[in-house]
Amino acid sequence: MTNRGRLAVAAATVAIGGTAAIGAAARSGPGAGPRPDRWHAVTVNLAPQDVGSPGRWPQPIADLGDRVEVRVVPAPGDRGTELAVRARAGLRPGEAPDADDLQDRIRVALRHSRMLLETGEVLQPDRPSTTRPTVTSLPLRAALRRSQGGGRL
Amino acid sequence: MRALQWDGIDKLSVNTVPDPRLINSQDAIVRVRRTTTCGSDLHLLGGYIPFMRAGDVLGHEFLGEVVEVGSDVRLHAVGDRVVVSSFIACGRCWFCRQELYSSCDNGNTNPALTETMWGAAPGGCFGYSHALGGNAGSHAEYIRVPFADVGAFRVPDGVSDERALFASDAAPTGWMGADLGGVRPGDVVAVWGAGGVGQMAARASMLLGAERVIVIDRFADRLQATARHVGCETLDYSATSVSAELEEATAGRGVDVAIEAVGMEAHGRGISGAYDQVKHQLRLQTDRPTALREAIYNTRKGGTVFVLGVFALAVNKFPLGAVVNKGLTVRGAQMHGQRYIPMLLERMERGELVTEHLATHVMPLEEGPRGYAMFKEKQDGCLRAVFTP
Repeated sequence: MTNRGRLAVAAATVAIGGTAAIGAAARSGPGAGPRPDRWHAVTVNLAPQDVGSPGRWPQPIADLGDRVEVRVVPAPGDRGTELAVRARAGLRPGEAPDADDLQDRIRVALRHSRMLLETGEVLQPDRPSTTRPTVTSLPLRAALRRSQGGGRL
Repeated sequence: MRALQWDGIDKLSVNTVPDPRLINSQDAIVRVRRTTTCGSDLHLLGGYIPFMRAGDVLGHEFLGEVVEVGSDVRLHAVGDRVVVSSFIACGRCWFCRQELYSSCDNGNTNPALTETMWGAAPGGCFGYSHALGGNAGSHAEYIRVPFADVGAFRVPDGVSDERALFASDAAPTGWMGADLGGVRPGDVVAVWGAGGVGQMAARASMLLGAERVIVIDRFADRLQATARHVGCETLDYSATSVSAELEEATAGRGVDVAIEAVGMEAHGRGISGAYDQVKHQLRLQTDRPTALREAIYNTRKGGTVFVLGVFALAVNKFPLGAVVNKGLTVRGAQMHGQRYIPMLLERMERGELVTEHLATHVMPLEEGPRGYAMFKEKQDGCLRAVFTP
């Protein structure tokens, strides 16, 4: 790789970190971080009765078992249904050692539930992949490990 | 199969990679017949969108033949000649139901990246980095098309491959700029950028009834192609003052609708151009908004600026004062192809929309790296390099 290429990759790596920082700053503003008891939610383009009810939640959410609470309410206007999930008390950030992992699992379950409900299946990435691991792609590969469990949701 | 892969900054090669296969039941596999470079690919090539991995297959604008369908594909069969929307959308989420297909909730398998950057994730795109799903691109012999019933469209027999190819991205992108920019009969429209998308935006503006359409660029061959094939006015910004010309052309009003079809690597002149270049190269800003600033400055009070060019994150010296004090509407979008492609194919069949001239250089896929080099440097009048895998 040329010096220009190395410089650009290094700059891009900084950009990924900067991107995350800008995103975090933009969503949290100058105040504190999110409340530990916050709900994670998606809006599903279906009527509430078609989204689920106790005992018949979409499978990805059902798989979380009694570690979570689930809430379903109609969305305003014609926007469908708000499907929200949060960790039960005692399992939230700051309360349990694996709380962050549970939060990631909640986000994945919500995204997959919406896909299942709206399209009938969970969209899978291409495989086998054509990519090759490189040293310069380490930050991106790290970010991609949480490409469904992370984010703003 | 053979495919054109991104190997790093400004490095491409054609190699043998695994064939794609059906993964979801709504997938189709398409044998690619034509696939074209797009100006937005250059942002990936140059590392300005830092979400590429070595080995990623480029390409998002293509046409081909269906060779395999999943069990839940209803509208397509083996043998169909189809053009495919560059953006991947499910067709059933709230955003798709509003015809905002590139904002699809279910088309991007890596939503956390763009949620963090932008506050929400758009849909997926073929061959456009892991931020937009990491989907394999179309510069290959075969490609997997998710949600095939939603994103693939049968090409009428009367439309050639060469014409229909650009219904995949350039034509719907341009049409969207004019449509969502609110172009109406009698309007004066200015389009920044005489590439494929800019030319399509100009043609769309004319078909929507604009009184005058003026396309701005500095490359003589692109301006000549625009005048000849689109049939509108052109301005060479390296030879005259855009601001003075537009002031005169509109008797002091400013243009009704400005369409920016340049994007994050805009060329600039003078001190402001140097300022943008330095900040961009040092990654102190992620995008150069030179053309966007000019578009905002030259739009009339109460007018609309539509941003078609690709921008990644943040720009400096954005003229918000002009936006507020002139009462402008600034709007942008990735392209909602599924909304426009059927209509565009009909217009192509009727001869209202011609695109073949965009394919200035047609070559085998094996010559992909050379094609991109020509396209990037705009050598030999290269408007688009089209590959035939």
